[in-house]
Amino acid sequence: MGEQMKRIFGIDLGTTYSSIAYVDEYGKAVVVPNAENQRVTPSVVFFDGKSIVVGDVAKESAKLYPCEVVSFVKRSMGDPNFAFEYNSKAYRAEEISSYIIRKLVQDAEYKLGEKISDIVITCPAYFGINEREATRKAGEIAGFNVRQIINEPTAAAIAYGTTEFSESRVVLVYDLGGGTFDITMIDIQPDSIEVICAGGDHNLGGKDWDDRIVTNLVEEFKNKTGIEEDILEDPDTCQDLQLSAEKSKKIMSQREKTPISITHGGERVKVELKREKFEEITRDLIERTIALTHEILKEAAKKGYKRFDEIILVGGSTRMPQVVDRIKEEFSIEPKMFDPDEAVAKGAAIYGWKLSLNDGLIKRIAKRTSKSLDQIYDDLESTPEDIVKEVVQQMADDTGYTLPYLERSMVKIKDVASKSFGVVVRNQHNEELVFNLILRNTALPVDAKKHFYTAIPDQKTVLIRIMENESSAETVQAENSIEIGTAILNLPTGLPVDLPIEISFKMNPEGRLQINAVETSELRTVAVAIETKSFIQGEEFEEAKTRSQSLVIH
Amino acid sequence: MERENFYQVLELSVNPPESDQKKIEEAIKKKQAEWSRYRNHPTKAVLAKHYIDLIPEIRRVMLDPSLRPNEARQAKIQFQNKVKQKYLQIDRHLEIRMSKGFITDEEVFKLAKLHSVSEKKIRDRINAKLKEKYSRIDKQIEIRMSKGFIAEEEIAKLAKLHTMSEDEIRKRITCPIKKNYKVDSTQFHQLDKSIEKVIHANLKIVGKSSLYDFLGLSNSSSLEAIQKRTKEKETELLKIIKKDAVVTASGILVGQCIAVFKTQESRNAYNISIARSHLDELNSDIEVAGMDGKIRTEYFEALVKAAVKFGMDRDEACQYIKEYCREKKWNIETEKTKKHFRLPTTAIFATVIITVVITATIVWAVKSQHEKKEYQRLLVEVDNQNVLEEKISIIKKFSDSYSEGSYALKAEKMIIEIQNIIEERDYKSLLHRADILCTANNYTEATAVCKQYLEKYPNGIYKAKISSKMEDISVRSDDRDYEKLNTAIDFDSGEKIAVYMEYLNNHPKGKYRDKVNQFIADMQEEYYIFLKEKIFFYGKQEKWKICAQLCDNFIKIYDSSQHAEEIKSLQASFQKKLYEQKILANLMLKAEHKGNHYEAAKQIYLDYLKAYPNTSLKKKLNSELAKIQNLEDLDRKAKEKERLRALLKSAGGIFVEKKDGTITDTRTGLVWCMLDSNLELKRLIDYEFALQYVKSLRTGGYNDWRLPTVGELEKIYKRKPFFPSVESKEPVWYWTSENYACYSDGWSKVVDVVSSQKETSWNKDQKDCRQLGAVRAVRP
Repeated sequence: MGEQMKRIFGIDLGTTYSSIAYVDEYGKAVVVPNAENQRVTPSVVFFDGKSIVVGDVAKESAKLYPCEVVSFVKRSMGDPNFAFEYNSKAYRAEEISSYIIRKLVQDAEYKLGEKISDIVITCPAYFGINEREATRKAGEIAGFNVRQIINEPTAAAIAYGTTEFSESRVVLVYDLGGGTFDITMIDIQPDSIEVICAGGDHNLGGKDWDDRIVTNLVEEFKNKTGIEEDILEDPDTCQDLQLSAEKSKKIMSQREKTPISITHGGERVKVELKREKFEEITRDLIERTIALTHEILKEAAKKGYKRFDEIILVGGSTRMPQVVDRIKEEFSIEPKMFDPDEAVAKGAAIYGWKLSLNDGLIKRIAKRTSKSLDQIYDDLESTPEDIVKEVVQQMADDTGYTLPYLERSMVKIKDVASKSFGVVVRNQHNEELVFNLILRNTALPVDAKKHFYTAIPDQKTVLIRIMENESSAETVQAENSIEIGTAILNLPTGLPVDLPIEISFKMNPEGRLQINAVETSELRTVAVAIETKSFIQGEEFEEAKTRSQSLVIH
Repeated sequence: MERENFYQVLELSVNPPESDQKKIEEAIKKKQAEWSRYRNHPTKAVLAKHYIDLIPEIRRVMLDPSLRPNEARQAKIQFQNKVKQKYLQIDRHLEIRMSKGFITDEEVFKLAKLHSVSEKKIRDRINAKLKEKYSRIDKQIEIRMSKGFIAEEEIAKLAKLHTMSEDEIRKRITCPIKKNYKVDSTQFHQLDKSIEKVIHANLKIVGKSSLYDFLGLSNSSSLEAIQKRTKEKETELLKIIKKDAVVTASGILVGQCIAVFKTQESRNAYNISIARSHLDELNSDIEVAGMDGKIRTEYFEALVKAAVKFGMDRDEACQYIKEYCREKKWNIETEKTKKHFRLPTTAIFATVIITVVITATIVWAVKSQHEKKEYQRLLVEVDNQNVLEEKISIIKKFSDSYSEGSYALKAEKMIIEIQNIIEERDYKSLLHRADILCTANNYTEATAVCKQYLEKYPNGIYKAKISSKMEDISVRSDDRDYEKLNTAIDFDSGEKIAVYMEYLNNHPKGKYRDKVNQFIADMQEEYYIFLKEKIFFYGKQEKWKICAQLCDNFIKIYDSSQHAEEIKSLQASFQKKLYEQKILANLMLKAEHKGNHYEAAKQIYLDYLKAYPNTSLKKKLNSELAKIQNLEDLDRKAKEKERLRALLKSAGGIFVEKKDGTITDTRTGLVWCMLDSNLELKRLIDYEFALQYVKSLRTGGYNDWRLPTVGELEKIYKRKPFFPSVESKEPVWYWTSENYACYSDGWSKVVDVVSSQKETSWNKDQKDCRQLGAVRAVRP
């Protein structure tokens, strides 16, 4: 092998488990085990004095130090009101997540003996702008160059589409993870992977199944001991029960029943949980995934996708037999279990590898055509085909990858907008409405424009309230939207009344939103700075970053 | 969910209201950390999210000195009592007026005038009252549903209570209705406790009382309506971007709705669980009341009131609470027991002193003290109990637990005493009852109740007395019954014998037995003739059972008479016939089960005939076989007709079925028989039979059927459009009316025939009249 390419690592930052992967010199995506030699690391953080412990040790510590251990932070990503307090210092979800990322990268660096700087992180397709931005911030706080945030189901589809290679087909990715549920329809073609539409619930995952077991165990304990108090008030018992619940859930994926012991306040109770009971008390949860799946099918049908070829199961929770059974019953199709724990990380790694190849390609094209890198970035499409071919051949020679392999890496990946985005406007009755410029499930990238008008002569500023919602309609009630940020347009002086101002929402393939405004009298572009409190930024961000660097993570 | 007061949420002091900005800020931070920690709690996560989402609002209000005082005021108000009810008096008046079940317009008018309010206001109150009434009925229904079903008797009771029709009550019931009260309730599927919890917790967050309330539907909505609404709710939720606690909880509830309202069965389970939750509230009240191991009189009354509020009636409430306490082994104090209680207390005191003295037996004493306590508790409980049988069962429980103890004997003695009281009570009530019955001349019932008593107390104290009472009854009834016999003179012989025999049975020691026996002996010939007549009558109807019974009656009375042998042999023959009748009925039933599998049905009879070739049922079986054959033929013909009718439709209106079974050729006006002889008879026939066949044919009510001519047949089979063809493997050929004498091996007759094969070129054919063919009959 000749030239060494810069490796970009893929990180699956999961609610309950996380993992890291890269593409090796043979072009194969591999997961790097952590220092404890586990391929997945529990997304649990233990604040142990001055050091931070992440993973299995932290998870086990939860039993002893329930107040110093934090888990499931992903569910609070982008929530400005969440604060985990330790030593009278409040930590946001982004910062806690950064520790998980650092742990993964650090262990991988040690194992591989190389420095890692660039990463791709995955997030649920269902994440809105702020949650995505928060995820990116988590990577940045950890000190890495976050090349891209990509959707988990898309990552899974990439891993699936590049390994199980065959003719084109439409797949439904049913991704039931520890904390989130994503359902995505993806059209896999030999030269492209295109997301048709995505949906889900980021408050529905394996943890909910665990919680049902916990609730059941609490009842059993009450029945057997007659103790009426809420034993979950005791943090130790609560943690203990959660761990037992997760374990027994996993056992029940293999066996029909499992014994569980509950210890609280000196009382010890033995309980036998049967799979039948387990499925009974969680039936509503599985039904919700089915209902959401039907929603997506409806949405897809509107886009002309009336059928799909297969269902692939991703996420550890799809190992529960009830998932497979219920899907079979509902859709009369045998779902395909595809590398449920690692597909997402591997897909992210392949995506990173693609980015890296692309970097090399652009460098070479720039050199060959003597244009600047930016010029090529902006307009790769217009590069003559023969030059691209030549450069690819050159790369194949330099890197040692085969030509078809490189060509296959050129596969186009297209995602959709996870939500609808719009601005607050007033209608003729002076009621506040949200006018959607980008509708959810629109293919990315997208550039939507809309004219708004100045209300008074010589208007100085325009306040743009950027809204996110789930509606597929052009206008939607303001109360059904959330404000993800505001932007102030500082207008030039002397504009007349009723002057059209063109606001454009540009969403890049990654799902990041950029807003531009142009006043139409002299076609001046107006600066738009988005402000939001939903994710860590500014001083707080810098502080967190510095703090993160000084902390030791185990 | 109504917004909580922030002072309460933050647990800040209200009196005086906390106003230190710093302290408030600290409280918020503390709570924020607490809620963030609970963000992933297995049961409190959604609630925690709710509070986390509230933080900006809490900050806005609590950190603003201008908004805060109002919040403090609100907090105070919430502590104070609720606002007084405005229309309390009107309501009371209405209640009185409405107690008769309705209220008239005039009353409304008067009440409106009295309280100087508009009539509408009064009517609004009435509607509210009615609503209240219905919700009360629903509550009462619910509480009864908690056992998994509602019994018919409960419906009747509720209907009576509310002066409503049973149907109206039934409409409000959403669980199975059972005829009988005593059904094992465990067979009903119940919602898992943990699911109940999840539903309950999330309903609390969305501020709804039940899944029905959550969907905005009534409990009595149809399952389809509920499922439809669930879907709508789900879609509504998907549109909401702000995933706050209420939306999250709603999402969970929608999931539960999908699962709970999937089938009627799971819905019932949920309904039952709603009902059960009301009981849980009551149970928790009882638990609180019984904290110190007993229930005070005042508490008991309060509990009964609470239970009545939950929808029980007073009796049920008392019973329920008593039962609950009995299980918990709690004593319910009554005014009476309170007095009694003092005595045992002194006794305990005495025991304590004694135990101190006898130091060597401390261990025993402790035990004995405990036992004594229990014994005293037993005494109170027994005293409390009004039902004697219950008293015994309570004592028995005690003596089971302390069978070795020093009070076992006392307990045994007590049981015997109570048993004696019970026996005496029963004896007295028996005498009373027997006297009433005798006065009413109902000696039979009087004797029966006496017998019942003797069965219950075979070695009872009053055995002798009862026996003499029975004799007395018997003497009194003897005279009366003998007199009755005189009225039997006009009866027929059978009835006469019956009343004589009844007398003998009822009065084994009767004064008139000899006389009655003489009557019977005198009737022997008369009864013999009567019997023969009856046997003849029923024999004709093949009612062998009655015949056998009649014989039996005769033999029982006149076993040694000259006719006895004859009647006995008759009886044997009837029994044999009865047996055969049963076999036949059995076979017929089997055959019937085969439906239109005629072959299988026939086989049943054939098999029997093969197994018992000499059976006397042969004739009947053959007739049954013929019946089936007939049915089969009819069926076959009907099918064939159906098929032909279908074909006729495509014949372009040339062949029309004008009368059942006939087809008119509209070109020639000739009427053809729809089925040919082959289909009718299922066999081919010679010419001679063919002539007879058409002569006797009555299809369509016509009697002028004849054999067709060659030309006539040719027109329908050898020229288009063809007559609907017969379904058979090979075409049959039909006899015509054209026949000739012919010589081949001797003189014989030949007939022109036409085959049913559809062809346009054909050769005329002739057959010997002894050959076998078919007839397609035609009439003028």
